[in-house]
Amino acid sequence: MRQYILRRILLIIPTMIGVTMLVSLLTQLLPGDFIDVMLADHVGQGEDVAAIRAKWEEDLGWNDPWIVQYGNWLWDAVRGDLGTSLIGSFNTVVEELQTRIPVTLELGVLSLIVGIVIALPVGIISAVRQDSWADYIFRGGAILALSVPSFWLAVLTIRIVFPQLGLPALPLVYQDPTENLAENLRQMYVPAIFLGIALAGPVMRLTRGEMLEVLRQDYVRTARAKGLREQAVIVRHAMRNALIPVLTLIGLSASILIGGSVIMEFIFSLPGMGLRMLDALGTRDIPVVMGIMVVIALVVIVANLLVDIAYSLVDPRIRYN
Amino acid sequence: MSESNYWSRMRRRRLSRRTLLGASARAGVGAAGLALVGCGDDDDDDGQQQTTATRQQTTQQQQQTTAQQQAQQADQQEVAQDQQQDGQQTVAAAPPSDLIVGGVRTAPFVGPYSGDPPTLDPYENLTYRAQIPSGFHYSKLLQAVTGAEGVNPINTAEYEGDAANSLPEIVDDVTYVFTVRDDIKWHDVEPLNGRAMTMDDIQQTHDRFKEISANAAGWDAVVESFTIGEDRSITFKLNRPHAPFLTLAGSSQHMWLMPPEIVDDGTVATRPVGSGPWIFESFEPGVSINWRHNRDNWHRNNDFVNLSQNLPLMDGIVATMNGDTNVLIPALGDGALDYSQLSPAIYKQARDAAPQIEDDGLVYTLNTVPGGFYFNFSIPPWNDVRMRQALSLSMDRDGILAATDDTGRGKWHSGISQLPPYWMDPKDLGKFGETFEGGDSGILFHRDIAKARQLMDAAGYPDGIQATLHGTADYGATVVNFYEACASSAAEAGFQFEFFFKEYAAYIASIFRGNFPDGWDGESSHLAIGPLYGGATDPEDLFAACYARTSGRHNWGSAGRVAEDSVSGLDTGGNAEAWSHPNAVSGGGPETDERLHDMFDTQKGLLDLEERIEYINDIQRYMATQMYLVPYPGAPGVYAFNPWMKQVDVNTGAVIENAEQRMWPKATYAWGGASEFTFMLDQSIKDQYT
Repeated sequence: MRQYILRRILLIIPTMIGVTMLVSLLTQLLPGDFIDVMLADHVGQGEDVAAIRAKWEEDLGWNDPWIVQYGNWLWDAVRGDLGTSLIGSFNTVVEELQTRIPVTLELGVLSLIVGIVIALPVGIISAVRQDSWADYIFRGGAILALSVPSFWLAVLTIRIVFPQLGLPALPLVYQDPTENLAENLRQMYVPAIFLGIALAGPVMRLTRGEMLEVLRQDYVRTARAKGLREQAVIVRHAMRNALIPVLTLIGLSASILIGGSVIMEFIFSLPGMGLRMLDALGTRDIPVVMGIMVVIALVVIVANLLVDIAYSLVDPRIRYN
Repeated sequence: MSESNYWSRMRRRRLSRRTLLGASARAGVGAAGLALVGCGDDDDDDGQQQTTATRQQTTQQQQQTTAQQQAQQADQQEVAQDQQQDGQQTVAAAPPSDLIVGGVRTAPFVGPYSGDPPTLDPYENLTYRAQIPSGFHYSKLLQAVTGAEGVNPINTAEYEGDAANSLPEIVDDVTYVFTVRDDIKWHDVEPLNGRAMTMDDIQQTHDRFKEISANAAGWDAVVESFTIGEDRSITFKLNRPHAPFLTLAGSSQHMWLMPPEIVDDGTVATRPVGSGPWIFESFEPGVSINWRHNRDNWHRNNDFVNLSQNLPLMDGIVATMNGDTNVLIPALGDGALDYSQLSPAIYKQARDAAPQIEDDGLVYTLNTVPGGFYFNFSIPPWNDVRMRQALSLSMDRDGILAATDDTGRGKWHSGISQLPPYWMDPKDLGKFGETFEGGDSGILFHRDIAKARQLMDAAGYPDGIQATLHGTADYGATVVNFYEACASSAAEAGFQFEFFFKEYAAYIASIFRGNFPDGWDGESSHLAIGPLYGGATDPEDLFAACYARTSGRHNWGSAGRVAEDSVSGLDTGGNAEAWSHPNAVSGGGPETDERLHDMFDTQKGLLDLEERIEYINDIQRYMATQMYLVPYPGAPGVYAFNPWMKQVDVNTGAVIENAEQRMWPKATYAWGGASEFTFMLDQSIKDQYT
């Protein structure tokens, strides 16, 4: 097991190199660049645009071939220097990440909690009471959660539902939870609920499907034949086995949550990685884009690793050799 | 991909962009700012009132023999009298006993157009997002006149001293002498700690402005010398008489006064310290910029009525960065936002969501952002004036406004947008004139499908034309809807446009600079639509920045520019070769129009306001004959204030019947400092609503 984990950790290195190389290459293909954005509003009349651009390109090191630029970035990155934002805050990318990650993380964790709290019981009930009215309602709800974009539901809620119910508008200025937890949660709860609902849809469906399959297994029939209470059969025997693939899905949802948070952070003024990514892409602030992509890639890789490890904990039959 | 911060490196190295200018032309002149002169409301053309230009000139001459303060007061009294004669109703400021002090207002940075400033150093970037914050924490030599009595809301040419004691002494047509206040201090925060502003600070500001600001090219074209003298005097010697010189001196896009300490330590882009009415506290990208009051504000009270309370009246300002209307509208209705700028397309939604906002809580502004269809002039068909005229004739400007402007207050742009007091409404043919020098002029703004088809037929397009209409969707969905209304409007005459939207950076890098792709079948069927310039307060801003041959932006379409623009590395797509195409035609565009550029040059030297206005009227008439830019109509800006926001109209000026109140354009990008320092937030009323 230890060897397996070690091997997986070592595999992170080439994976990260591949991901960052690909992202770097793609950013080269984007139309327009940081200098274009700056020149658009920076250039007055009577100025030699070509000369200004040439000078800036030289200062930014853009005259080097792409692979050299990437190599320089990588060399700095392994030493903990992800560069500096070219625009706006002028913070180092590491500083940016330090302030942005907690916000996205908080939103992700809250969404995950909401998603799991909804999906697992609903999926199990739906399976246990297959083809009942509750099952139909839950399945319909899951399809709805899968098919309707979460940001659309969120916008609909704050534009229509909130005013109708007389609920106060959400805060526009982010509050750090360590300073004002109540205000922080007031800002977080709507995006967390709707991101959670989006996550709950597929998890609920998978939970239901796995439970149905497990409930038909011989060992479940045996447990019932032994006279165990239904609750014990479901919780101790069926659910534990049914949740293995569900765990995989939840683990993989980490990347979905980060992706979904881009729009949610924009709509709800949450200064997380998603919002920063959006800004950075618009202004072609490539060091920031690269830094955030590094974090996202790491989150996905680590989440997958943790899921695999969790497998062995949930199912003792699984051993990694 | 560089590991270091380009801008900080640039600051450290004091990279001299001036040295980069090399052989580039310097004939272009000052970009933004307000006019030296101006008068009354924009409809006033009967000469009944003495012009502000004349008044200022007169006053300034008097200043040579009389006390400056007395002259300025007399000037303002004269303005007030003029307004009363015009039947303008002024809004009185609250008497001192009614002043409400305290409270922190929360409002979006720039309403639905909010977004992070790329830098807080206004010299490094000219976008409104970089300029507007400066108005809160920096001072300039001059500022737009503020205060209640006698302030004309649509006169963008009224100035008063800011860091300068008063308006300058005008020694002759090319010599202006300012005297800087001796009580001016920097904010009482690190690293300045409230030290006095010295003349050396101003000299260093000037040097840095000239060194790195993109607007310095225009400055250089006007200012021959800048000399610090004895007794805190500054003498500007101009190259030639320049009507909008005070525009430059008071412009919100020119010489903001900033201390050398923050330049030296590199915090000028991230943590500005100035001498303005608000002290910068923090900027969190994507969240907000925060300021607190600077009640040690030595200079902003002088024209305000008998204040015992130092300004600003509110304790602080939170400018939020979220421009999503889905968030802004309910927040405005709920009171989470104390006020917001709105776009005309969401005006009704906002009013429905915020029924507590009364009519007097709404402030409208004329639209001073020029825009419309612009072209590649080197090849057919858009180098043929008949096609451009036909396009203008095809547009149903009132219909477009009806479909897109919920305020119902939109107006028709001329070639200089709706910039008062120079703008002529093309809808008013009585004033604009149907023709100019024998050619169709104002009539070309009025829809006439039959005539449009005749012109197209004569130009060789009897069956209409299909064209690719370039733009960017990044100005927002409401702007895209507006573009679609413009395109649909033209369809009836035979203009079939297919939209091609580019992402903002790509658009700016190519189309915005007149760098069009070409379908090389002998004809170019490409054109573009969009706004060209924001924050103008004098026509010279537009002529120089957008239309002049020397413009670094040259985004009014262009002729022969592609080879130069290939520096962008984008979308030229081999166009440099295409520009030598046999079908390429030179002379169809504004670059080769000597008449136009002579007119641009002449208007700068006209020091008499009425004469200059009339001459700029002729420029508009002439521009209409050529339609180098086919202007679309423009909806107004609108600001919605919740009922607990008081005295919001004081610095937007008087309420004038049948005219628009103004706020932002009054001081342009400096509106934060020029307007908000007299706003009051009545918490007791707010508590009733929230």
